[in-house]
Amino acid sequence: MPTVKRPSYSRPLSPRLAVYRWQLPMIASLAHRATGIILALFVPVYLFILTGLTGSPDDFIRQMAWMHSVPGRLILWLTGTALIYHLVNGIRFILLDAGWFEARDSMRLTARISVGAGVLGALLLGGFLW
Amino acid sequence: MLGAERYGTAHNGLGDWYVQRLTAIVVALLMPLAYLLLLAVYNGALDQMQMLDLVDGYIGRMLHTLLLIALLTHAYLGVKLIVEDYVHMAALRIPMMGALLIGLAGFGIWWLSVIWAWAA
Amino acid sequence: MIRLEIYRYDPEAGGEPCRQSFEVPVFKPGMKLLDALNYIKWKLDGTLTFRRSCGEGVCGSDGMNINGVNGLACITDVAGLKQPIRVSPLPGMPVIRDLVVDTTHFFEQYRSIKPWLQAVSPVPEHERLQSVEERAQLDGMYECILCGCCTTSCPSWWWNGDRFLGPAVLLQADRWIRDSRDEKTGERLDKLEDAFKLYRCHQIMNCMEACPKGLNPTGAINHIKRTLLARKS
Repeated sequence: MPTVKRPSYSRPLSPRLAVYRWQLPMIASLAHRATGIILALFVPVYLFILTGLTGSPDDFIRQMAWMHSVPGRLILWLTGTALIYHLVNGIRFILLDAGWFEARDSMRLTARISVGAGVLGALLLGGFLW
Repeated sequence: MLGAERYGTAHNGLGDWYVQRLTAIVVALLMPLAYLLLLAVYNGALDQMQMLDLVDGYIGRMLHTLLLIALLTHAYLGVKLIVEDYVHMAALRIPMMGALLIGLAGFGIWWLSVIWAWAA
Repeated sequence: MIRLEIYRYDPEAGGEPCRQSFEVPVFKPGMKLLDALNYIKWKLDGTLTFRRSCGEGVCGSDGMNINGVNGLACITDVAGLKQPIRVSPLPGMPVIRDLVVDTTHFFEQYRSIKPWLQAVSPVPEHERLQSVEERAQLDGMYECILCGCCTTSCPSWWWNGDRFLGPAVLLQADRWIRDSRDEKTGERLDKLEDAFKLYRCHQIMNCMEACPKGLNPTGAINHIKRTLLARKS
């Protein structure tokens, strides 16, 4: 996947992802990216649901049945969780961009809040859907 | 010397970065509403007619249009960033971004047609 | 006894890099990781190669990956470390031998931001003076010793280090942007406005976690982005 940054005279590249310890802010950033991809993939699904729900009464019933099926619920749960996390962490990123919570401790604390909100959101949404 | 200055400066990151955040705010305001509406329908709190009253009105259509423009722009910039991060071969990266742009624009047109084609 | 697992690579012997285990006694109170490495080199295996100089966290020579996080061996207490202590060279760099990496590219990137005072106004009779407030702008910047712990902890730099300048160099760039005596701020900002040089930072914050001097390169990078935005809007 990655390319070497410059000709390395056949020197080995020191280990990076293989040795680096996962830390919470790093997880928070990677999760923002992962949830972003999930939400981008949700766009066609959202359109599919929207056409069904706003179609004829028969379409509506069929769409409701799909949403209540196991794959339907799983997709709603996954994208809903992704949305909650991406929203909370997105607000965090914008606040950091604006220069707030920029101290090292607040960066760590806000990462905790984001990940915590994601987990809590996943549980609450799971409870709502099942 | 290969050096760090090999590529010079492209003067192009600021616009993407700024629009990404601008659209993020629009999406952050509107997307939860859309999702909550979806959950309300799922839950049976709203039937089809009540839901259509909300999304089919002029304001609903306008908000929906705003949401889709901001969301698709935000998604394009976000996925572009990820592609730039991991796909190092320009001959692969550039077609990928082109395909992404066309794909998202296609969804946008479909989405617009769904919203604005509802029986008036 | 302290157990260590150290990354070894000998270019002359050929072959792949490997890990070697050592046991070192605790021979003094407040023992640092550098003391353990010195013990190995002086008493157990003279071929172990690493950089070190001042031994007190000022020169920035002995940056390495310690139990998964980058830091300076000379100011890292062995007492707090989980054993075996896994010691690797700074990540994502070409290894010359054992814990010694080739920093050429890192310092080329540093040179590219012109890390010196650039002024066009005539040299005053005495110093170029700063107010107390102007000087305070450099706090959290001037302390950087360029050990490379932050830059080599950054995944964005791992994947795109050929173009992304990395946290240490961008913190240094911000140090000159903030300096009231510098008169080339506009040119400095011009050279940084680039999707790869600057905007590869995705607030991963490994740099902030790694910095042995307690600095915050993520904050500095955000300040550069805000300055660029303010200039253009």
